[in-house]
Amino acid sequence: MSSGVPEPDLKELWQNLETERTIVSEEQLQLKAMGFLRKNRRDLIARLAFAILASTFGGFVVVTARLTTVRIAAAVVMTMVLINAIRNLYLSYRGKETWTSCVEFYRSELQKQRAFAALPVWQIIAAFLIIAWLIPGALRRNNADPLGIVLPAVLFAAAGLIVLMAVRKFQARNVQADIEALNSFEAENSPKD
Amino acid sequence: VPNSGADRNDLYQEVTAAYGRAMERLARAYEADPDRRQDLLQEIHLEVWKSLEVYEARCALRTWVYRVAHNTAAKHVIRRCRTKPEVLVSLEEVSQLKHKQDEVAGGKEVVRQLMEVIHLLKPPDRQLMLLYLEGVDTESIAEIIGLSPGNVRTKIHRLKTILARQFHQGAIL
Repeated sequence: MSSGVPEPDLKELWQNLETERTIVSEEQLQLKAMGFLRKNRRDLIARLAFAILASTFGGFVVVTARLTTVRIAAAVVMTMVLINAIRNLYLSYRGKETWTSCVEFYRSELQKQRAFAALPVWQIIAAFLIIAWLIPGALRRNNADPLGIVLPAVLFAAAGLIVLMAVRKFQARNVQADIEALNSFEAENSPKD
Repeated sequence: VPNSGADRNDLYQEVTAAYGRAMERLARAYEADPDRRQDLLQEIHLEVWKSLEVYEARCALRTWVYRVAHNTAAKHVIRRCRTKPEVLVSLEEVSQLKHKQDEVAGGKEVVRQLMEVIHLLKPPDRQLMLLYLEGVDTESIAEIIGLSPGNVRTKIHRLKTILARQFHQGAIL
């Protein structure tokens, strides 16, 4: 600790930090704002287009498939895609404005992340039911070689779903830990309060 | 709309003149990569400019600008963590991670070390430290962050102790 060199005043050092004095002109701002709006619009169109394409394809399968099992599975998948699209759109537009207090804004962003990470339970159950439903059919149709083509594909889908659930769970747990840390950050009070 | 067109642009000029450098320091404290930092800085300017349309002087312009700037930067950190997970810690944890220096370092080295510490912090702790370093008073920090003044006082007291321990820094105590 002891040294002949004077100890630094951090505030002074910080406030004298070299900066480039960036000035963003009004034209640049307007260009950037337009770019931002364009990007938002593009994202929205891409999401909607995906949802529409997936539901059209699902609808086509529902109408034309010969097997009732496949029709029901397609209808459930179609519903899931549509609900997910609406939910994600709603979540991306939910959230506080940037001029709210920092704690409030940070909490709302974390809650948004948590909602994104959480996979609705009914969707997991529906996906597992579809997989369980498809397995016996696949076994019957592939009497000669039940472990041939269809069963591995179904099992692969199930494994993928489990991995997705694990990743989402891990993400949600991390976000929850951040929310709890924020709660303690906020709750701490001085004895004078 | 309280401020549209010319009014907003005038307010924005006022903001860049008064807080332009603080906004640059803030971007530096939230993003180490120079290219991404420039993007972040532009995003902060854009968010501030957009927000000025609804600014009604119910709070000080400084409070408004710092809130928008810190919130935009915090959003940037959350987005970055989603694509590239990184471990961010609280002030208490950072004091355990970083060992104090044996020698008193020169100005540039101190700033580099300080920046290193700041980059490790979670957004709320980072906001508190940056506002303190910017010389913002306790009441205003409380208003910007959204905590009680008593809470901010306690945290600043602890922050000063940690900084003093890390940087042999006595002048601010």
